[in-house]
Parts: sequence; C-alpha cells; structure tokens
Amino acid sequence: MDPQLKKGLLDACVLTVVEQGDTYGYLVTQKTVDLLHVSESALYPVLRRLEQQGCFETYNAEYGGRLRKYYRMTPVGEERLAKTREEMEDLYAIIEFIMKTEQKPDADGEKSAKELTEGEGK
Amino acid sequence: MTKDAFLTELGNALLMVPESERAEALHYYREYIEDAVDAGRSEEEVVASLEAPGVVASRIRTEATLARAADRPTPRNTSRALAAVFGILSLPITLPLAICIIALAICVAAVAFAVIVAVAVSIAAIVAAAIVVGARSVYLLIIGAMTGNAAVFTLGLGLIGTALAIFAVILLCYVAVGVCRGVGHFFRWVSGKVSKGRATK
Repeated sequence: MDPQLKKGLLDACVLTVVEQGDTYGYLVTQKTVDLLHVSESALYPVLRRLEQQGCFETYNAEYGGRLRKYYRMTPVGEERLAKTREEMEDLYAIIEFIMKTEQKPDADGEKSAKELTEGEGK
Repeated sequence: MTKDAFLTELGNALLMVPESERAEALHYYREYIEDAVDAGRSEEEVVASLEAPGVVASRIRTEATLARAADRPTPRNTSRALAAVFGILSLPITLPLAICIIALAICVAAVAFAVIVAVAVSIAAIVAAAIVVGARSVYLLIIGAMTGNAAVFTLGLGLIGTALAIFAVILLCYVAVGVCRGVGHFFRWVSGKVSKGRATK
C-alpha cells in the first residue's frame, strides 16, 4: 500500500482503538499491526504525535507491580476521528466503484468497454 | 538481542533528540517489551519484531523533527523538516552521509563547470587566432605585401580556422547542455535512492 495512505489510515485506526476504551501501547499495536501490515515500532510515533496534538490524555495505572501508561480519548481526538469518518464515507463510494468495474468478466469486458465509450459519444 | 541491549542502543541512537522525547521513547519501549513478555512472547522475539534500534530511532527522530517544525517554524526547523520528509534525516547514518552526498554533488558540478570554462577559453583563443590570421592576410593582400599562393593559402587557413571555431562553439553549447542534464539526472538518482529507502519503511 502507498506509504502516505498507510500513514493516514494508521492515525485513524489508532484513534478508533483508543475510542473503544482506554488502552496502552502494546494493546493498540496488536490491534492495528495485522490490519495495516506495519511494523510493531510504527505505532509509537503515531501515539506520541496524537498525544502531543491533544487527541489523547495519558495517565499511569498500576499493573503487576509496575506502572503502565494508558491513553484516553479527548474531545479533540473525538472531533478528529469524526472528521476522518466523514472523509471515509466518500471513500466507500469510490472503492465500490473501483471494485465493481474490476469484476466484469473478459468476454463481456470488451463489449462493455465499447458500450461505455459509445454511450459517452452520444 | 535482549531488552536491555535494545534499550541501550535505542538510547544511544536518540542522543540527538530532546531529552524529554528520548526518555519518553525509552519508557514506552521498556513497557512494550515487558507487556509482550507478560503476554507470553519471548524477549528475543519481541525485540526482533520491533526491528533494529537504528530503524526505531530514525522513525522517532523524523517525527520529532516534523513536530518541532510545526511548533516553531524557524528556517532551520523547516529545512530540517523538509530533509526529514525527503528521508535524509531518517537514514540511520544521518548527518555525515548527507554532508558527503552534498559535497560530492558540489564537486561534480564544480568539475563540470571547470571543464566547460576551459574548453570555452580554448575555443576563444582559436577563434581569436583565426580571426587575426584571416584579417592579417586580407590586410596584406590589400596593401599588396602578400601575393599569389601564399596569400590565398593564408586567407584559406584563416577562413577554415574561423569555420572550425564556429563549429566548436556550437558543439560546446550541446556539450554544456548535456553536462547540465547529466548533473540533473545525478541529483534525481540520488533523491530517488533516498525516497526509495524511505518508502520501504
């Protein structure tokens, strides 16, 4: 996948995971790594940046005798995610269009392409 | 690699980054590896999966540079951010490599320029000589000091010399354009390699 596209989607995925409930670095990583085929170390910069941009607030909670850093969604983060979801709505229609055209079988494919160009000529 | 070895190397690779960022990152990855081990994975496996400390550090450095440029857009920060975007700062061997590439590029450009100037000067000399010979023989013809074969021969030489010089000037123009294009291709090749390296991350 295009690296720039992946980067944008990664932000959205991380926001979604944190929206689902307060979470910590390892958990966020496990939920996104298989989805987007990124390295486990790709998540930290995203978490850090979103935190610095005010999308997350963090707190420490005890776990098994040590302190663990948790991320929690803020109103700023929620707004960012809502905006991204709006953009994804448009993406749905585009993806559907691309996928549909691909599925036409070969024999009809030639004919349909011809129909399309003839149709445009009218 | 063990957790401690990984964290030590990561810490070293992050020495160029603000201390708070460095501490934050080390804390994160220490926790990360411990959480992974708690979940049943082996320390070695997790560290391997995180990739080399140098790679991890370069991701962090790139983000830090971009963030600093966004916060305080001084010319220095902005050009560093641009360099990060073009993948120069995110290379593991950052500054020295960047300096080498730029120095090499300057040398190439300087040599190309020097060659062009040298050839141009030579051609100028030839043109001047040809014109002088031609003009002198015309003069001698007019005042009658040179006659017959000698005159025609010298005049001919002058004309041939001038023609050759004009031809050489045109050739030089083509060569100069070609050299400039070559330097341009070289720069494009370099930035292509750099962004290719970035894209595979």
